[in-house]
Amino acid sequence: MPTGYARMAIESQPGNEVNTPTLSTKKLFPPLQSLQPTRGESPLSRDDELRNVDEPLAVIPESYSPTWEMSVRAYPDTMGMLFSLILGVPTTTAGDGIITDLGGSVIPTNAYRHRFTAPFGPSGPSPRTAQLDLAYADQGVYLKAKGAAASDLTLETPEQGGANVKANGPALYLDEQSDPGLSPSYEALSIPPFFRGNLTVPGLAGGGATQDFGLSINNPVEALRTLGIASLYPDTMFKDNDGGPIVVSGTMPKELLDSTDLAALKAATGFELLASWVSTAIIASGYPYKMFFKAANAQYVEGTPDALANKRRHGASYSWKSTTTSSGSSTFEVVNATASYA
Amino acid sequence: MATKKRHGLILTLGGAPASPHVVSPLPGYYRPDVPHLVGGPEDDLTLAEAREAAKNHDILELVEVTPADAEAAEAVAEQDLAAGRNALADVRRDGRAGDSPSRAKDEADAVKGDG
Repeated sequence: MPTGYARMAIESQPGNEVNTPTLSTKKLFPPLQSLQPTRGESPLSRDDELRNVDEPLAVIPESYSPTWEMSVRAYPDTMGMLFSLILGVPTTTAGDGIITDLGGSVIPTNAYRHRFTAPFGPSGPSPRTAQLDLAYADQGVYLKAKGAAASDLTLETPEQGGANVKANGPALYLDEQSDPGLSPSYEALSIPPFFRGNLTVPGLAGGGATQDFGLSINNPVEALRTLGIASLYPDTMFKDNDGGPIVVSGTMPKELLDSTDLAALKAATGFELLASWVSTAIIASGYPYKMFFKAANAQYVEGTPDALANKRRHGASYSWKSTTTSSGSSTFEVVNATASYA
Repeated sequence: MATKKRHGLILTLGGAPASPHVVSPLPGYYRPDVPHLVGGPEDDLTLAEAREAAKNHDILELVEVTPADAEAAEAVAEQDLAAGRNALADVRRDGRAGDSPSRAKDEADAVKGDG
């Protein structure tokens, strides 16, 4: 029997303590490795008051600043859902034997292409948010988070353990609820997560052999108390005023130090980056589950060669950032069996 | 001669991909696109139990299945069960079963106690 579950659904508007946003038709029970809910209690301390009491005074509830943090393997359906939370609504096209994926392969019927193209995020002042229903079923404790935005998402594809996603962010509400009576359902284990053997990343032409590839999405958001409602929780989720746009960046350490990479770092040379994860599982007509990230103009922004030492070979470490001089700097694409994330 | 009416359970989880899903503690796999046949391959559910399952799980709906659809559903169920057993062996090998033992057990139960 399951010992717990979390259900995720996108909200029509950021949910707070009092409103009831419409939830997306698409619901997901992510096959969690962990999901940490934190209510963020910050009680009022009055120890600084002159009361001729030489002991701590009782604290009283003053404010809550909820956050959440999820760790999950990069399953095809889960990735579509997490991308649609942090990047916004994808353009979904049903495979028809004509349309192609970012790798140029034709997508057959019964497979669906979900494409997320920069500039990301919904229009308007607020980011997309989700409702999370969490069940600690064995303990009979049920929580609900509303207005949960994803401020950060990182994707690593280590040699062992499968591709791993970590996502986190603030929320506008997190508290106990009565048993929502949900029945969790998970895609069968025969749909595996993406893993290292699925990944190819041709880097900068002529550069050193790639050792690893890490990707990170930063979506600056802030949970604010705009005095719209009387609540100990924040009531509004906004795009962070000082945070800038959604940025996709990452790391790409190299097995071999190469002057082509060093020169590209020095000159901030742009190059196309296409990371492709091609699953071993088939969606339909021999076409496998796929995930792509394409940077039209990746640039190294930091890097150093390995320290010169008594080694048989030296590598280098680089950080890259996806940038643009016009539009469409980054494109994410997930091809899976999910018809819609609406 | 009238053909005996058959029933199946359809997964109604919103936006679920057209792939096999586990609904613990029920046997077999459940899809939004193809019904899980009551009395289908390796299925122990009686019609009464299937009715109860649909009542207890908000993500399942009991539907009638035409003979033609039943044949197709049986083929899909056999395929899903075979893929499920292979996947179970894989996750035990690669360690995923270790970090999510309850899910691996649910899946083992789904493919008939291969635990």
